[in-house]
Amino acid sequence: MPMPGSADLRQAVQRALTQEAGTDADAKGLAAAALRVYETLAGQLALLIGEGGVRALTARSLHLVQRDFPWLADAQERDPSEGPFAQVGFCLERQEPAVATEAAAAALATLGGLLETLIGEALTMRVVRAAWPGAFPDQTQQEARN
Amino acid sequence: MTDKVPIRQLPTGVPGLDAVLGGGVPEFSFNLIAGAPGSGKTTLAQQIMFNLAKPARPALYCTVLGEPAVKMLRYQQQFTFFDAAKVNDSIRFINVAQEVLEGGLSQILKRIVQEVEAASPSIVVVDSFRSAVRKAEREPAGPLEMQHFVQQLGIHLTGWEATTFLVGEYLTAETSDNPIFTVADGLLWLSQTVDRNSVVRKMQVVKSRGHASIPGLHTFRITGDGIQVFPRVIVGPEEKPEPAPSGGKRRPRERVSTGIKLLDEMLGGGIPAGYSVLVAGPSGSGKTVLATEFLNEGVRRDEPGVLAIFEKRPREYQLGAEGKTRGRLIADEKIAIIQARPLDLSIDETLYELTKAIRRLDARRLVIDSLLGFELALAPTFREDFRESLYRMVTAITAMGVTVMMTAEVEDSYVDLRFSPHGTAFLTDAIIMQRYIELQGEMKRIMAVVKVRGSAHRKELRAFEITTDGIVVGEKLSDHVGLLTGQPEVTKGKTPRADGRSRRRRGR
Repeated sequence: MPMPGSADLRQAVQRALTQEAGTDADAKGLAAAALRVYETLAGQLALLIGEGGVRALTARSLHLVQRDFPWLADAQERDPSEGPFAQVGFCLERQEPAVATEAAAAALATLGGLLETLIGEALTMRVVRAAWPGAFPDQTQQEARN
Repeated sequence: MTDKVPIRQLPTGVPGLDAVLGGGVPEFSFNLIAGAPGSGKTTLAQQIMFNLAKPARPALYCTVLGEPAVKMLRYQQQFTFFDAAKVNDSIRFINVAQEVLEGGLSQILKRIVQEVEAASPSIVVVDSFRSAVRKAEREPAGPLEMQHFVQQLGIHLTGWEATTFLVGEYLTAETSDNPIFTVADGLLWLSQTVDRNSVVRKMQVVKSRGHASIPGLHTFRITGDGIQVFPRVIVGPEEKPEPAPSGGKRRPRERVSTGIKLLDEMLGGGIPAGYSVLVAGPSGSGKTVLATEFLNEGVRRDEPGVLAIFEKRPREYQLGAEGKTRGRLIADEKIAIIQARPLDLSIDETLYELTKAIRRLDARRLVIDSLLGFELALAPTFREDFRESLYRMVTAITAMGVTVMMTAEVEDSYVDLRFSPHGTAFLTDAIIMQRYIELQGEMKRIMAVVKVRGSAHRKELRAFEITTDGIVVGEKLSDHVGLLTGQPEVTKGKTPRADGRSRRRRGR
C-alpha cells in the first residue's frame, strides 16, 4: 500500500528507521527503534507547535494508519499516560519484523504527511531534517565539510 | 565624540511603517503590539521578524496560549514574507503553553530566559503575551506578579541585547494602570473599525521612547504580501511654496499649458506650475475632456502625467482610436492610470498610490477625475473629514511640483454660483468654471476662469464646443448680459454664433 506524505518524507522515514534499528532487527528491536525515531521528531515538533499539538497530531495519524493496520488499534487498550506512540511499540513487538517495519514506517509517514497537509512540505521537512539529520546524508556531508 | 548613546533603528520591512516610527524600531527596545483580535498583530510581528531575522541576527518566536501554533504556521506561511528556509535556521519557534498551565508567569519567564540565554536571539516575539497574563490576573497576587514578570522580562531581554515584541490582545480602555504600558518602550496600537459596509484598519504609535514618530492614526491594509502602512501625511505651513522674498519681487512661476491656447490666455498664460486647479461644471459639460487634453499636452511637452480615475471605468479611457493612443502612452510610461478601489479607500492610501506613480514616471501633471467619485470611493469614515483630507493630499502633491487638475460635478443653478459640492473650491489655487446656457433655443457650453491665486487672469465668459479635435474655445460673449442667470439678454444688437464668434443681428 502507498505510504502517505511526500517522496522526500517517505525516504527520510525509511532511512531514519533503518539507521536506528539496523538491517536485521527483530520486531522488539524495531519497535524500540520506531519509538526513538518518533520521540526525536516529536521533540522537534513540540518546540514548534507545543506538546498538546504533537499529541493531537499523533492521535490523528494513528487513527488514520489503523485503516491499513487495524491491529494497531490494540494499543488503545494500554495506559494512555504512556503517550500515544509508546503504545504502538506494544503492538509492533507482536508482529513479524517485516510487517512491523512496514507499519512503523506508515505510522511515522502518516504523522509527517498530516503535518505537510497542515503546515506545508517546506516547513515539515525543516522539522524532519532537524529531528533526523542522519536521514539526510547530503546534509550531513555538507555540514561535515563546513 | 558625542555624549548621547546612539540608538540604531532597525528597518521593519513593513512598507510605510518605518516612516511612521520615525526610521524603524529602536534596537534593544521592548515593544508591545496591541489591539483587538483580528487586528493584524501576529501578522505585523511576524512580518517584522522575518524581515529582520538572519543567521547573524537570530529570532525567537514564543507562542503562548493564543492561536494554536500549528494554525498560526499554517496561515502565516500564506504571506509572501514567510520564509520557511528561515525556520529552525535564523528563526526558532518555541511553544510555552505547558509552562503557562503548569506554573504561570514565573515558569514562562524561566523558560523564556532559558531559551534566550541558550540561543542569544536578537529578536524575541512573545505571542500572545496577553494569554499568559490573563491567567495571572485571576490570582490574588496577580497584579503584583504580573508587574514583576513584565519588569523582569524587560530587564532580561534588554540585558541580552534583544529587540522584543510582545503581542497582546488589549482594548483601549485597559491602558490605564497596566504595568506593561509603563514598561514598554514602544506601543503600537492596531484597530479595525466597521462603518456601514466598509472595514478600515488603523495603526497608532501610542508611545515611542527616544525618538519621534508621526502622530495620529495611520491606515493600513493586509494583502498577500503582509501589512502595508499608509503614513498620515502631515502638512506644515512651510510645505506650501508660496512666500515672496521680503522686499523682493516674487519670481514668476513657470506656467503649464492646458493644451487649449485660448484657455491658457484666459488663465494669464497657462496654469502656474505646482498649482491645483478645479474644473467645475455640470454633467457632460466637458470636464473630463479638458482634463484629458491637459494630460495629452503634458505628453507632447515631455511632462508625464498621472490620471486617477474615480468616475469612469478605466476601460472607457482606452476605447476607440484615442484610447489606443493612450494605451501606448501608458506602455511608454508617459501616462499612468490609477484605478480606484471602491468604498474602502483612505486618503493616505490614495496619496501613497499617487505619489508612487508620480515618482515612477517623474510626472509633472495629475488629474483627479472626479472629486465626487473620489469621495464615494473612500470608506465612509473618511468622508466625514473629506475637505481636510483633500487639503492634505493636494498640498502634499503640489509640494512635489506637480500641477493638479481636479474635476468636480456641480448642478447647474441659476440662483447661486457654486464650484464644488462640499466647499472644496477654496482649497484650490485656480478654478475653471463650465456651464450650460440657453441661447437662441440651443444649449451651449460656456467657460470662465474664476480664480488664479496670485495671478492676473481674464474674467470673460467664452462659449466652447467639444469637437473630434477636442475643446474649441470661441470668442468671449461680450454682447450678452445675464448669462449666469439663465436668462441672458443681448446687448449692442449682436447675437452670438454657436461657436461663440459674434455676428451682427439682422434687425428685430
